[in-house]
Amino acid sequence: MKTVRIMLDYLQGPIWTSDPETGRPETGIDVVDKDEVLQRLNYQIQDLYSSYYEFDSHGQACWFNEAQEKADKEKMLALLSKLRSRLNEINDGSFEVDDQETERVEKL
Amino acid sequence: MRSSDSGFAHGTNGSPQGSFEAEEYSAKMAENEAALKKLARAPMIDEGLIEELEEKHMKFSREDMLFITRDSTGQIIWLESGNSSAGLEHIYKRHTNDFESKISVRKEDIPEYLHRVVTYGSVVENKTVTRHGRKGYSRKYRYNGRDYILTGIGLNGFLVSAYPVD
Repeated sequence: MKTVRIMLDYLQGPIWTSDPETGRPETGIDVVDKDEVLQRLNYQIQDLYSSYYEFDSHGQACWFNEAQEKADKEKMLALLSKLRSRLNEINDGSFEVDDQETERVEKL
Repeated sequence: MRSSDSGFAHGTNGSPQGSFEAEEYSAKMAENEAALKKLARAPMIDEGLIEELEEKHMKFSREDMLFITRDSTGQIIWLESGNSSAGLEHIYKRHTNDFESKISVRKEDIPEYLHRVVTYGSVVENKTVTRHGRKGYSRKYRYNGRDYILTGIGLNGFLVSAYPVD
């Protein structure tokens, strides 16, 4: 059985991996990669997470806005929850979900 | 090069157990290991590229820098030790298992491996992505003809993340 990993990174995720420009999942699982609802949610989450990164800012080459990430915690958890729900809805038994992000965000 | 210039500790003739106390032997081994690490890292820092960053008044941490190089797009790219969100610490935390399981690169070899990927790898995909008015790069390198490494790079060239992909 294939695995859909949920993980956030700069310009990547949460569905691992995805097109950073469109949010379209690139998992190799048709039912996931072609779902437009997932693509929209994926893009929204990716956009929010990547917005915390600033370069040549605050005296550093790369500065991560931890305060904003904490402020957005509930918003991010709600989006991740919608993402997991949609994955469950479309799951035809061909994949399982490995969520490596929700627990981290809950601890913020 | 004269042996006295090598930076390595000497005096390990014969059996270390026979001619040295274990403690002294361990200290010399540690010293040699440190010298080897220094030698291994030296080529990964190009002072000329650092000068270029300075001339452009770009922010960076010289003491946290693990490598600096220029990739095939011509951009200066560098990796710093970083933190849990960006840089080597982030890569270790999030992607060590991927490096080990997908391309058999051990955790301790990741910095040197990435230096080779960025320096000698060919760029097979380069997307400029704008997030809230800030641009960054999602860049995929092919190295050794078989390894594909996807990276997230800031507009300034700071390497935020890197991971092997299929």
